[in-house]
Amino acid sequence: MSNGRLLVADDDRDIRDLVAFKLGQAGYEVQAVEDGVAALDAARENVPALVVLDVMMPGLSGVDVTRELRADPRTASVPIILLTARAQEADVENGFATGADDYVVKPFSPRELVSRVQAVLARRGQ
Amino acid sequence: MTGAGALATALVALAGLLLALALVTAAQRAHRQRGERLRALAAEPVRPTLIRLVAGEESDVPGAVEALAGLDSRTWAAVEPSLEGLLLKVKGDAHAAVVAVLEQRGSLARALARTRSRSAVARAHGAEVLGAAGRQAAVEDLLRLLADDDAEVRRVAARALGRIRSTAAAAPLLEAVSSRRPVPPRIIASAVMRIGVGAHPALVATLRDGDTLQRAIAAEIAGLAGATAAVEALMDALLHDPQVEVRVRSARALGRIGMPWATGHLIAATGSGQPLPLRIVASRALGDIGSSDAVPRLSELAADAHHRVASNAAASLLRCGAAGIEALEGVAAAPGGEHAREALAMARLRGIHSGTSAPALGGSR
Repeated sequence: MSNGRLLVADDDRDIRDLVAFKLGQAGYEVQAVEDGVAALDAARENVPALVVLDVMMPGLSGVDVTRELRADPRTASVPIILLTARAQEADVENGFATGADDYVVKPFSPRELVSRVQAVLARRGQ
Repeated sequence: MTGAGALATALVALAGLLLALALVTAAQRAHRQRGERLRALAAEPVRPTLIRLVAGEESDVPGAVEALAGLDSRTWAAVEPSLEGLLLKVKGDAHAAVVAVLEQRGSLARALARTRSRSAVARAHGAEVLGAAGRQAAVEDLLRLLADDDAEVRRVAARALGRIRSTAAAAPLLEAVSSRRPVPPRIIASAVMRIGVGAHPALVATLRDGDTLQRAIAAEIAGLAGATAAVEALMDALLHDPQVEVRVRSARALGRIGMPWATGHLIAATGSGQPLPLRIVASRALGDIGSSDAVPRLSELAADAHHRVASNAAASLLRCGAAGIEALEGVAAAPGGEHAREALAMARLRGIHSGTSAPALGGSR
């Protein structure tokens, strides 16, 4: 079950800290991890209300983590936002095909990211 | 000394050399890692301020700017790379805040000075920072770097000009594809597309006056960018350019842009006297536009002697609405209509068309 906590995974420390800070400022409890494997472990241990995943991470990419989360009944319905520098249409399609709810392209506006998180959570009624 | 003795001596000397090389490499790595650790340690107390700056809350930004602007030079040297890196990761208020700090600390002036450094790495770094900061005042210096001796510096300068989105850079960027020291076309295309509508006049001018490669690249970019302002120039190039490559790319671009009034020119480009590569691409571009005006000609082409023309024309008919599908069914029912039958079967498989007069594929409907 969701506990209102958000999970952020990005191997770039600046972005990870920025996203965590901004979401924390918006009133969310945030857990930040630095790679896909840690994201998967954290999500399985304590199912988050929403996950923000960088696409390009070493080991498991954001798309891989999305696929894994969708395949697990406990995390299958967790909203996911992908964060990436790759703006190609095919990458966006790939992200949505694996079950992501939204897609934010770097460079991004931290304020816009918070709005997207709020919108996705509102759509899911959380 | 015997031959064996000389060999042994040489091997010992070689082993010694390799050992020395390994030690030097390890020492350099250790030195670099120590430097990075020290910089990270020096930057650590400032990180919360840096994050507050980039988070962009109006109440936090002035204080964060002031704090970062007042850092001692050692701490600033540790923080500066992070701030420069953030230029490419954030936009909007966050980006503006980072630029303000870099401006105050003189980083942008130093980046500009680095574009004249003797070191190619420094010139590339300077160009990268200026582009990421969107520094309009640096356009002239970056244009100079488009002709740099070093290929990587030229590439970085082209990307930087694209990021700055200076319309003045569009024409020089397009010229750079075929200059004495060229920049790869894909980098030029990406940079010109970033400039956006402001680059469209340069695309038109290049289509008319550029050399062959420049015209071909301008046509390609015009199509990818959906440059409606270039349609007239593309139609002209489609029928009159002396180079087939430019005509082919113009046909493809006209299809991508999708303006219906280009249909007549594309039909003319499918004429039997036209070069085959042009007929192939034009028959496809007519489908991209999808005008019913193209249906009679595409119906003829769907039974063309060349299979790629016929195949593209048949697929294009499917994209010309009900009139196109009806015509395709007519071609499919006639002798020589195998490409039309194939297109209908593929459409049925994809669920685009469920007409009854098309032949069934493997008994499935």
